[in-house]
Amino acid sequence: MDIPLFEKLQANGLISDESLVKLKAYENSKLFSLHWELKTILYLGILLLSGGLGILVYKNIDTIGHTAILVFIGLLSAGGFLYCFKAKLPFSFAKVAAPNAFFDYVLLLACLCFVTFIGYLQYQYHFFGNRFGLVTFIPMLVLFFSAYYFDHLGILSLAITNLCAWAGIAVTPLRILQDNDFSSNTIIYTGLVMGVGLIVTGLITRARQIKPHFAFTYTNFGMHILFISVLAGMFLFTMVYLLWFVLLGGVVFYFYREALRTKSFYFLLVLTLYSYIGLSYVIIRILFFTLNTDVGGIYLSFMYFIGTAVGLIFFLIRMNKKIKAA
Amino acid sequence: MIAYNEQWLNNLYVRDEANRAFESDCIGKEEKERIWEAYPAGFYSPNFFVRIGLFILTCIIVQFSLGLLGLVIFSAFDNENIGGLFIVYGLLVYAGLEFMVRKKHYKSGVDDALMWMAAGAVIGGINAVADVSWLANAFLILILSGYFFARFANAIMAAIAFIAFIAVVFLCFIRLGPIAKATTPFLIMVVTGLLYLGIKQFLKKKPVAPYTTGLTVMCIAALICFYVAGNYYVVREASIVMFKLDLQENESIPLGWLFWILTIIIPVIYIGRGIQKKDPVLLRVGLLLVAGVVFTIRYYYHVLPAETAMVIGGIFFIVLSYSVTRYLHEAKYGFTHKKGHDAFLMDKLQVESLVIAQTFSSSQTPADTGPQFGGGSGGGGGATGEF
Repeated sequence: MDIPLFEKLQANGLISDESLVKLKAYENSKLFSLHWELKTILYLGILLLSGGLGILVYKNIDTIGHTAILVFIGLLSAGGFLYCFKAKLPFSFAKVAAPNAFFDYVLLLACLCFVTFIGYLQYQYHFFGNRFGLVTFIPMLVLFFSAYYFDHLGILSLAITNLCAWAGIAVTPLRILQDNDFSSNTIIYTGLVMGVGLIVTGLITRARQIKPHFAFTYTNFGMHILFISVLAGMFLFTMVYLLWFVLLGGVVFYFYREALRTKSFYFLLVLTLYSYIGLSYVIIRILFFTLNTDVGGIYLSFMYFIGTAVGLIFFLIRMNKKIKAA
Repeated sequence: MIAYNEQWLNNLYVRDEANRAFESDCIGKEEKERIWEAYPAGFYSPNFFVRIGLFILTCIIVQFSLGLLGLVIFSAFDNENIGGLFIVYGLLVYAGLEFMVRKKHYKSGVDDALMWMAAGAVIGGINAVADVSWLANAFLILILSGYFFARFANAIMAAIAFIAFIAVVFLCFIRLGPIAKATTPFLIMVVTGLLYLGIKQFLKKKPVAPYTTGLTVMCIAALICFYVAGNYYVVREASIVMFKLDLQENESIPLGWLFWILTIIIPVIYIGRGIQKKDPVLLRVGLLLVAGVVFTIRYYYHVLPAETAMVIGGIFFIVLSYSVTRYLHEAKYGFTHKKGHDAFLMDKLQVESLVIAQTFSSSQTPADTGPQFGGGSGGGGGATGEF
């Protein structure tokens, strides 16, 4: 902290003498935090180790033998879980801190190994026969259990990803748009159900105070899945796209209320952008398909974009004030 | 020189300091509020997410306005001078930027967007009008970004100005002939080294508050450029590509041993000095550059197969992190492994859990609905914003 500045403030009578003494003492005893450096190194280490082991196993599968590998991965997972059961703090429905800096990572390693273990079991030995659903269903259960029992947000995200994979959609941030074929009806309906389900889960989580800090993760995943599914529905079912637009309006309204209630600028931004995409689609469609304008339509669409963007800027500025004041 | 109200910028700095003092329980709430009252700042700076939204929307407005203007002009005058249009438009956007700054916008997303759009339009326009050489382009970028840094104190502009300056020095120097070409790495190292020390000294004297972030970013750029200039891989491959140095597959460059030493020792020095001086910039840049050392060595010497190296490296990192944390169980020599007071945006958004979901999630969707590319999203009228 800028001690000369505070000396000046003290001379001007803005802070008391004791405060200045406190500030000086704080500055002298201030510690240099290596927290993020150490955490990043640890994370990199786990990333390298698990990746390296994966390749190593893949390359040497002929010499090691499947059983040995399976046993090794299983033991690693079991060892990790054993440690977590021993080290964890007592369970509670409130937030529980990790007992030490490494607990979260050991749990992560154990869970990842478990997922690999199940997948490997099926791939090599067809353990579950043709019930493919079980291959994602069982890890999902274990992940959800670990997330709640050991209080781990990262595992919860993994579990939600797994749940969606089990239902048939990929939701990791970078794959949500790439890997999903949104031109199929089933995936859109699955997405709708999943999105609503996750949002409701978030609500229950908060209302019942069951790990209330998990609520944001549920709502966040649910919100993106729901918005993308509704937009996809609008793009795909062109005959009734206005109906989907109304649905989009409903979702936007819900999150508008949520943003105000939770004072979340993040929700506000997300709902603004998604609804802008939806509205623009409708306008462009009306201009070029319904009215069949050509060059004039291009002019109109450009003006539309300029006008609405200006409007949205004023909307965001107003909302910023409103949420701040709330 | 600075466009924003300088008094307010300095007041913002005082307010930040007061906030930090309050968060570390050194001053009371009334004291903080008194300071805030005594140091007013009337900027319009909305929340970070609102800033992102305003940035995107402003970009949309600027682009479609350009499109509209282009349509009108090209159809009316039958004139196809796109470059000229870009330059004129860039100047218009700049005027808009000055106007918005007068309107008290500061880091609101609007001023950020207008700044980048103006700079981009002018540079792009000049390049479209004439065939501009590398050196001229670097010079142009240096002048523009330097001006924008001086006027708007933007940190990224500071980094761009720094890199453009190094590029100008580099491109000028290599014109001097073969001896100059052979000594380029050393010249760049001397220049960046001196600049680093100069900026560092300047920062110590507590310059005007708004520029400190930009100058710190310049320090980071200087440290990285200093390393890159002496890196064996960069020197060798640049010599081959740019100076047509005729080297065989395993042939080393002249003074190769020296560059190897520099490649390995510079990050070590950074980390060592960073720890000794408790300088987070030096320390973090040094840690980052360890990756540079590893990649450089592995590029020329395949000592270990990749997966073995990954396993060994992974174990080493885990053990390192574990033992340092253990060692610092109780704070030693002024170091701690616990979180500092600065709250990170990363914490609030739970970025860590998303990173975990992305990097570790191996679960594929079941085969029957498996990956099919070209799914139909983003077809809606070109609006950006897929998050």
